[in-house]
Amino acid sequence: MRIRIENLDKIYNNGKQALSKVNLDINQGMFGLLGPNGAGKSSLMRILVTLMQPTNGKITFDNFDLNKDRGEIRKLLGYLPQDFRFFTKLKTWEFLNYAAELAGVKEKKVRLQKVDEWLDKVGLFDVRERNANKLSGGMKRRLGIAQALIGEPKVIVVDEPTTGLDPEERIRFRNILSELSQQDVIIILSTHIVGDISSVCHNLALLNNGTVGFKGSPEQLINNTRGHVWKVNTSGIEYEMLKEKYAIISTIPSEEGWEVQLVGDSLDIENAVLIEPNLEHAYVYFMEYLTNKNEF
Amino acid sequence: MSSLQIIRVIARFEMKTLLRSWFFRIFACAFIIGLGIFDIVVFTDNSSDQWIYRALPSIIPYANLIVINVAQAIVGVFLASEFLKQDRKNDTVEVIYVRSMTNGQYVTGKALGVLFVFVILNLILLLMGMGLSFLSSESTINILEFILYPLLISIPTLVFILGLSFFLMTLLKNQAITFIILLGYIALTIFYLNEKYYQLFDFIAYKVPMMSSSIASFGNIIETLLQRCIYLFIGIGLIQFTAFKLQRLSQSKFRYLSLISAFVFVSIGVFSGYTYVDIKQKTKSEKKQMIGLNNRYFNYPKVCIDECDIELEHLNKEIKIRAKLKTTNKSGKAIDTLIFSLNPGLKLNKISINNTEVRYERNLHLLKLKCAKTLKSDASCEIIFDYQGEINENTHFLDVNIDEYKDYLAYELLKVRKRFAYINKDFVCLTREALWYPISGVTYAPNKPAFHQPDFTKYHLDVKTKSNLVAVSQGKSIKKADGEYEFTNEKKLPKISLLIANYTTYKLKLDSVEYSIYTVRGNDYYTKHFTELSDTLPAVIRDLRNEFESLLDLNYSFDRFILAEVPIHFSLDKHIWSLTSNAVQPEIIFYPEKGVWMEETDFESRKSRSEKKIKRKNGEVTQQELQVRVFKDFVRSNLMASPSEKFEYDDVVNRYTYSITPNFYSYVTQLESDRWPVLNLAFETYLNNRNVTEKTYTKKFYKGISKEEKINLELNESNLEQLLKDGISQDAQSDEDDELLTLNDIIMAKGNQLFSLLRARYGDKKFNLFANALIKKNKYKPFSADDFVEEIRERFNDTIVDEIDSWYTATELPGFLVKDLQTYKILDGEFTKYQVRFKISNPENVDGTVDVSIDLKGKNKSRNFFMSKNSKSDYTNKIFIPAKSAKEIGVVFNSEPARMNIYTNISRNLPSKLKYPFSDFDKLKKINKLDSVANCTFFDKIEKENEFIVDNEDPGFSFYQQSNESYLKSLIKKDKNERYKYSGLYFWNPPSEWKAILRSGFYGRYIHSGLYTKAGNGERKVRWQPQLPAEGFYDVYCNIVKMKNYSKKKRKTDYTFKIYHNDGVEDLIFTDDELEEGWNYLGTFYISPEIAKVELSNKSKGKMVFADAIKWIKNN
Repeated sequence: MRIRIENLDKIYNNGKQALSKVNLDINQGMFGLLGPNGAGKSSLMRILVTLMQPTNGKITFDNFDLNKDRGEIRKLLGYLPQDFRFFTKLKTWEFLNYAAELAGVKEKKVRLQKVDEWLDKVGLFDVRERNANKLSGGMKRRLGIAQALIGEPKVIVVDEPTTGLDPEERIRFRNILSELSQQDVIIILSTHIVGDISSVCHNLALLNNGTVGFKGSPEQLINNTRGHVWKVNTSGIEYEMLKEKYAIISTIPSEEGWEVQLVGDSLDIENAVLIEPNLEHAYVYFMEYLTNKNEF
Repeated sequence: MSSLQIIRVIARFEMKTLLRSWFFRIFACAFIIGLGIFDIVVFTDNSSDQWIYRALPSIIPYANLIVINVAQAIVGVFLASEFLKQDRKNDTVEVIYVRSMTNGQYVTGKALGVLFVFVILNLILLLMGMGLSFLSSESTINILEFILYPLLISIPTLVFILGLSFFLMTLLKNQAITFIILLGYIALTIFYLNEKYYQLFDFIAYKVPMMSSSIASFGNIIETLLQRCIYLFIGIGLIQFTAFKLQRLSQSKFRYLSLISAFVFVSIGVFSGYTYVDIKQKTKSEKKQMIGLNNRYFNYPKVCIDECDIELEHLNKEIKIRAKLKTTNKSGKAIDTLIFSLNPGLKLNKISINNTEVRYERNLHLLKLKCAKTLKSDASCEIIFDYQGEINENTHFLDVNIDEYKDYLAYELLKVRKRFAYINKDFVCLTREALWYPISGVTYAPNKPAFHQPDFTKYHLDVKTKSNLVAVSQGKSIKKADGEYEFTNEKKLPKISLLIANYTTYKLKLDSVEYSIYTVRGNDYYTKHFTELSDTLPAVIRDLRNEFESLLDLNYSFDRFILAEVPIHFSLDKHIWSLTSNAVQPEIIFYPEKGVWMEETDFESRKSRSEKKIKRKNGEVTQQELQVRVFKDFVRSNLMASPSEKFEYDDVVNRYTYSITPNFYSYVTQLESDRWPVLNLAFETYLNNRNVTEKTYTKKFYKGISKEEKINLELNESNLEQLLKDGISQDAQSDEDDELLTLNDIIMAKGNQLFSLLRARYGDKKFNLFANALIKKNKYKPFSADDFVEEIRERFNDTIVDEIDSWYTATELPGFLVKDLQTYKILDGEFTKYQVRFKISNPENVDGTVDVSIDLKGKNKSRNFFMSKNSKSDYTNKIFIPAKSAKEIGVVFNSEPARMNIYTNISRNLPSKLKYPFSDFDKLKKINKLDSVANCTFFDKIEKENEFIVDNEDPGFSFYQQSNESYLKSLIKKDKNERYKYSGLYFWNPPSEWKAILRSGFYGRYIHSGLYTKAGNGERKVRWQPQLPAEGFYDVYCNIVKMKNYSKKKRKTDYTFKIYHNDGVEDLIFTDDELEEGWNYLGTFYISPEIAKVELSNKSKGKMVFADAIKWIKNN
């Protein structure tokens, strides 16, 4: 399975351009879509799951054209939207059962078994009889992922899945995804939280202001940042100056004042030390310094 | 997954969520409880409700679904609009939207989900109804109807309202606005639209006649289906449109498929509507064409059919007939073209005259036969008609106002499509009007209104039908083989009818009359109620027969008396020329399915009520006595209904509907008159009423005017001839009035008036003997008005042609003035007695009669609030008052009288009942008693010489009408053209303008009326200006009527009068306590003629103000 996105534009009725000339090629495995709020991630996701019509461009899922073969493409999809809070009056298992039925799991016995399996997998078996509306935020998202996955979709689109989850739930969630990514599926994960992607995605794209700033593997992204991440021990006055001049990644109090990690092309500070970048550093560097330049 | 599976999944989950919605649960519970109570109240044996609710199997599903349909439509709106709202609100719906399905499947699934929920509710309610109906020992169930009714009533309504809600929600995107608009639309439909254009707009089916009969199923299933298809298909179309407009990217390869299918479905709906209206309009136009033809040919000379020999074969939905007619030309003219009427649904094969086949022209029912040679006067010929086909029911009731004619009966919730004739596989019902056998000449022609003079013919009928069916017709019946019957008549009859059904028969021969009852198998519910009757039945029937014969003073003239069951749909309308309905045929009464439209047919509850009543009075009663009582009640209140009978099914039948009177007179002979075509009906009415002493008076307390008063108002404006031509518009009568005036009412009242006057003039006994002799002499043949006039001349030496003529063509009516009413005690020997005396005069140019009735004190005064139906009075007398004469009436009683009523019959007087409560018998006068009706000096004034009275009907009276009615109210009332000036007294909601009402206590020469209005701040005024002869001192009086029911209220009316006199204006306020019923003295003033004036405004503490009359009495 391969998803190709060519020259995708989305301009809303109010004139706002959400996506501009987006070109992506997504292959099997987990694909991360990283970008700040308002970067166009959700627009792209919604277009991918046939909830929204693109203004221009073409998307194909193998040989299926998203504009023409919605029925076929929808059969391949599993989707967890960014907002997943309000349900009609259905119990947890019933909602999952409904999703499974619509996803084409016809046989009742098989379906119910699958429902139970998934409830167990996402840790909702104990609350299966509870109204879906009465679940906690984390539980709802887990239910969301279960409903997206229960039909064994070939393409899984999850939009900001870990927002509002506690760390434990976040880990559990990542594990489910990484387990899945071993199978023959495409998982498209959009997030503005770098940590969600760092451990599991082999490919990613950075989106900012509707355009793709980077596409490639996380390692490539990190490599591009090498030599631009610094560690500085600083005192109060200097710190204020640094804050104005550079993008601060972290600030840790130390005996002399603060130990600050920051990104920058060149630093004219004495005690600044280059450090090995990670994905988070790469993301910040990308956002702060390269968004207005061409791609990496 | 297949398309259907997807729809099923969505529908199932929609259903699941709806069933969990509290709104729906509360609604469903309310309905189960509400309808449960309704069912218990209506369907159980102890119910006080009508028998009709328990008699027929179709009632439970029909009544229940009609009751809930409005409410479920409203809930449907809510649930449907909720679906789209939820779809917008619930973010989780997106995960459903990305599933593979088309928008059409999704919306259809959702709509079906809502629909199924209601279907489940409907089924629960129907099962409950079915269960509860078993509480009644006489319930019947037909499973098919339990399936059909939801399909006909609920489904189309729900589909339509769901579609419409989706559609509006899609366009407006606001649930609240959608809800309000649709509620308004539902209300508009219920209160206004549903009766327009033959119930075309009635999507709730409240007014669509859907009652089904156990004998002949639905009244007209094609019309019903078309009407329901309108809403079903438009609903489906709107649902498809919603799919097209759904905020989800289309999946179907053909995105416009939904739009196209929406268009197709809506078109089918509209086409159904068009076809439906077209059918209805074609019926009208065909009837009008028939009338037009009749109008063209009514003057053609026609032959008289002396004998008619019919061979009929019943072939499923057709009949095949060979009719041999022996005719004579009695027209007095030579005839070269014979005119016949035959049902246009019957296809002619051949017609021959005297064994020679002839050519004919046919246009609808009209048949023109060209005679080979001219038929001379008094010559005879034999004509044979061969034909086959169905019956076109449009030949029926051409004499009603076709544009206003309602083709359904409405009783409470139940609407029943009228049927006039049937040829079904298992049921045939044909009357003369179906023109199933040829009739000489044409049928009803408006150019000769009320003209109906059928030939008296000797009929012979052979019937061949299916072997399990039984045929019923007039004459001696012989069963030749299974399904083969022969009916031979010895007597000539004006018409025959034919019924064929799967009948069971009960027969009894008694005093040369064979009494039988033909009941459709399975409907003989009555047998178990009359188990003890077999021995006594002959005696009971003999009693009843004697009773009725002596009441009518006529004899039953046939050898058979048959009650035969027909479907509930059989039309009970009446012709302009008849007192009774088409259900009354010679020898046969068509009784409605299980007696539903009849009185006293709920034998079980009648029996238990009678039993309880007797036991309460500590009486003992045997089963047999009870059964006799119930049987007698049934016969008396239907077949022998007295004119004073109160009827429960007032909207559908009235007291004469099943009266067998025509079997005593108009099926025996007829009074034929070209000049006064209603004379026959007039005579029949008289015969029917001549021995009835009780007076009926049916004005309901809050209603405007009674039927009697409407008749007087109509006759004041127009004469009988004109009224017959123009008809009486039912539409123009007030909506609130459930007692609509028909032309028949006027003919009956006028008829009674004419013959009552003749009787009064020639003497009761003499005139009645004369009438009976006339009937006897002309048995089984008609007699002419000339014969009648001649007989009167011979017997009473009186010429009445001019009188009948003016009765028919003039508008003059008698009028009655009453004065000098005195009540006092007198001494009669040793005894103190009570004298009542008064004078009554008729100053008009036409003779008249009044009925006086007096009740003694101590009689039950607690009258029914709504119905002032009289119990038998202690004194009644019909008094003849010739034109320009006066009488003094005196009556002496042993005990004190309480009140007197004078019924002024057809006259200029309004109201037609004058009430005189007596309060004062204190004086003892030592004068001679007057206990008779004596002539006295004629008077044509009731006021004295020095009295000057201005009444609200007089020219000196004027009023200032400033209405402060709300704009909305006036809009609604705009198209309401009030036919009659006088309205009812709405004491809970008086009008915001001066309105005229009639009350006996108001002052007036003939019309005792007053004005009333809502009290206010003096914005509305009335003024009385007298024509005083000279200036001087005058005592001023006002006439006051105290409304009993009203003055019990705390807010009593006070009156503010302005009296104009030479020293200025006197403002006088009178409280209710200061005023008494009748004339009240206001003061004495010096007044000159040009100043004289009294004003009254509506300023009052009370709720309303009345304005009637002011009297000025000149002081000497």
